[in-house]
Amino acid sequence: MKPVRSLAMLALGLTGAGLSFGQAGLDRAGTAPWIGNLSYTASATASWVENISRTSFAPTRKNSDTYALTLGASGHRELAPSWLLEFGADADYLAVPAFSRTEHLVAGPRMALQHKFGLGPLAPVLQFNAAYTYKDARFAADRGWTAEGGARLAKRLLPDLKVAASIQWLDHYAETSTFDIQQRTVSVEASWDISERWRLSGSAGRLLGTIVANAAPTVWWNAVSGAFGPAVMGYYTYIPASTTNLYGPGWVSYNVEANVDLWSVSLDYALGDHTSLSLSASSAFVINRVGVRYPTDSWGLGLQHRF
Amino acid sequence: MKTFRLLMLLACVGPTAARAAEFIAAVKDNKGAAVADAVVSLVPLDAATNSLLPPVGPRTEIAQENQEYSAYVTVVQAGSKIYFPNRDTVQHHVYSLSKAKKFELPLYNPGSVESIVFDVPGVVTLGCNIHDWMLAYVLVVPTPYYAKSDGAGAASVTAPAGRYRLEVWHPRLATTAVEEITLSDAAGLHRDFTLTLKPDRRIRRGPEGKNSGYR
Repeated sequence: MKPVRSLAMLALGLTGAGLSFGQAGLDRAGTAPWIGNLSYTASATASWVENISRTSFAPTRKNSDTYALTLGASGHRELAPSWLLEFGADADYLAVPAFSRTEHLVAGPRMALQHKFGLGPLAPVLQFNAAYTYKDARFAADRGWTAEGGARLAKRLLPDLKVAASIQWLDHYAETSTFDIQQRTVSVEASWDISERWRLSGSAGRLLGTIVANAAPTVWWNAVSGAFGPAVMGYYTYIPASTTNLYGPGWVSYNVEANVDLWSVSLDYALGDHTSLSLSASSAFVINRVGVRYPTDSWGLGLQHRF
Repeated sequence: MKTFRLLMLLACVGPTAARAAEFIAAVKDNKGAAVADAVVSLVPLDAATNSLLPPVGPRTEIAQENQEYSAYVTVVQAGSKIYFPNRDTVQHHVYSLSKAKKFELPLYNPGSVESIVFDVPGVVTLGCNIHDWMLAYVLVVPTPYYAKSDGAGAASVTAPAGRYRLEVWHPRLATTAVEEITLSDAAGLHRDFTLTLKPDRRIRRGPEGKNSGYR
């Protein structure tokens, strides 16, 4: 429930250390103004999400279109040869017209320390990253701070083929325990530059941790009254749950431990040096601790621009 | 005495007084398209033209602008100095791993200008260790007689009459094309070259997402 203030302090401390370390490297004529060093990005994505409600009972699953807008600013500074500090901040807004109570804005700073093992595009890059964001959800119980951290090892195998593996943790400290989540994810990804304009990328991963699922009132009543068996009843009466009405009157949100298989694929087309269009598909197949399944699929069309 | 002085003067200026001749090259690929950035160089083979002048001429620079190198191909005579001004608002990390010249300019801040002397003939491939798509070539040649083809595939070299080893190079050419030619005082020499180029496999820059670090 408490925001991880210590992590924020650590991030600020690392940033400060990076700044002072970076200044030590300014022994040439030029200097790097921090604001001029920033690059700005914006992206807008329209998606269709099947089972956006993350519901186990198929007849009650809710689908919806969603619209995401992301604005970001980022910069980088080489602290020492082959050591790069990347820093930035993002704001992501998600609009869900059919279920507006689930809309939210997530914003906050992030940073990453990268080390490149050698020179050239084929040299592997190891990255450690951290982010600390605030989720301003329309539904107050879901508001709170999120701390993220992770490591990523990337390697370009060919000039047009890059692969990466990463581990990531995420803790969200919401205003109620129903929306607290702790997740650990391992994933692999690859991107292939088919041509100067086309890029195909994909990822696959496994998430372990807690997720928030939802149930229609009748389904929830059946679960906690034993209609789905003693295992489900025992577990569902133990976990945090509350009536939130997020996907309809009387709907219940509940917090379960789960394993999630994730995959995504994206086809990008560069409209120019600064703008690209992407067509993406992704899937999250959730199985909670007592074997209940929640498959979610989405398809999106996005536009990204780097200013 | 006057005659002796005149003879001495003629002996001194004789080698450089040879009439200049022009060599004109038209470079295209095997589909007939004009090839830009091909380097045509003439290496003197005659003793009379073998005393090459040291590199002189305008300052050569390869700038970093808009996270690209200002020239894809630069050709200089061995011993030349090239300046590398960073005219971007971001840092770069210029490097070369090539045998002809290995060097690094790490922590290379906006406004920085450093120079490197390229004293060994050969191909020097330049990269940026932060922006992997940045790529440029420096061809260091052992002669002052060279030219780079323009967008129409045309290159013109003016050199004293004599025998030369003609070399044609391009970043996407598997091996340098070499042959011997003779330039005469009387007229220029024109040659057409058809190059079989390898596919262009540069790192794609493309619009990236949030990340601005090593890519």
